Amino acid sequence: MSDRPTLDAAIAAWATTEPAGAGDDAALARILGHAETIATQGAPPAPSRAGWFRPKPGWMLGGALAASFAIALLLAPNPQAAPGEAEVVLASAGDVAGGSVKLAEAESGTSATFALLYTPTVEEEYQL
Amino acid sequence: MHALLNPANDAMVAADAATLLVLRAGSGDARAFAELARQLARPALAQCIRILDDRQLAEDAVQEALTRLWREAGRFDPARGSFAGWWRRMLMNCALDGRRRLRPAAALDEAAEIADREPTPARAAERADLAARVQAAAAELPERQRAALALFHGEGLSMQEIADALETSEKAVEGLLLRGRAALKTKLMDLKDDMQ
Repeated sequence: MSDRPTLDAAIAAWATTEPAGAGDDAALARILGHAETIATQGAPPAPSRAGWFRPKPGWMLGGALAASFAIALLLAPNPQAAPGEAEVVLASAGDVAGGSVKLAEAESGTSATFALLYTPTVEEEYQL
Repeated sequence: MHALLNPANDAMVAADAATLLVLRAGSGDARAFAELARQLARPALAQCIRILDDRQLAEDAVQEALTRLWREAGRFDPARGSFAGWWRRMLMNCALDGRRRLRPAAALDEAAEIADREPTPARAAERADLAARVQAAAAELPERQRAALALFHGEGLSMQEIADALETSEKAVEGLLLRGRAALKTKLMDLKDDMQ
């Protein structure tokens, strides 16, 4: 068995030997100078977590209002066609037929949409 | 204050001193922070050079980590963990910052040249040579693999501690170590090394 280094020994040597440049005085001086600058001239340290989370009545009220508004928007029903719009469509359909065509009364929501999009067959048209 | 700043050989005392310093820094004591930075800078720079394989990037990472340390010192809570673990995590976070990876890393030849540049004491020459060869081979590994290897083999950390530092799982750390070790073995063989 030779005394050749094992892979683990080689990795350990790499991981524990200080690499070239780590003792570079100029680099360390720049780092420490930077640290001193931010400590003396920069922003102060952030407060601790306990101090950071303080309930603020103004923010809480604003947040509650925003949440209420968002929930109201989510729960609101789908927008419906205004009554005036429905009348215009019905009136134009009657004009095309050239006579007094009376469509079934369109209900609100999906039924109204279906009624407006539905194309009657020839037989249905004849019966109308 | 002066009692805190005396050099301590015992690691526990040093850790306690660092904890006290960071607590003082958290309350805005700039002198305590400067002393803490003085203690941390050199080992942090060494670790970052190992991981990033680039002196300038390593220097940037340490500066950024110290800036973050000053800003967040007030949030350090000794009850939630050691200062060493907290700082290590901060340093790794800055070293492995994705934005920094966009900059080109040193090439393999350059890495070997950098590692060989500084003279070493005679007794450590062989060890330093070995370390330089590994450094050159490790230059092509992903940074996270290098970080895991450095923390495991250099600082002797557990899987859990490395996972905390790298903000990942123990399983992921295990994978990083296995892949890194396998890649190093292959690369060192390619360099006609006698690794077993």
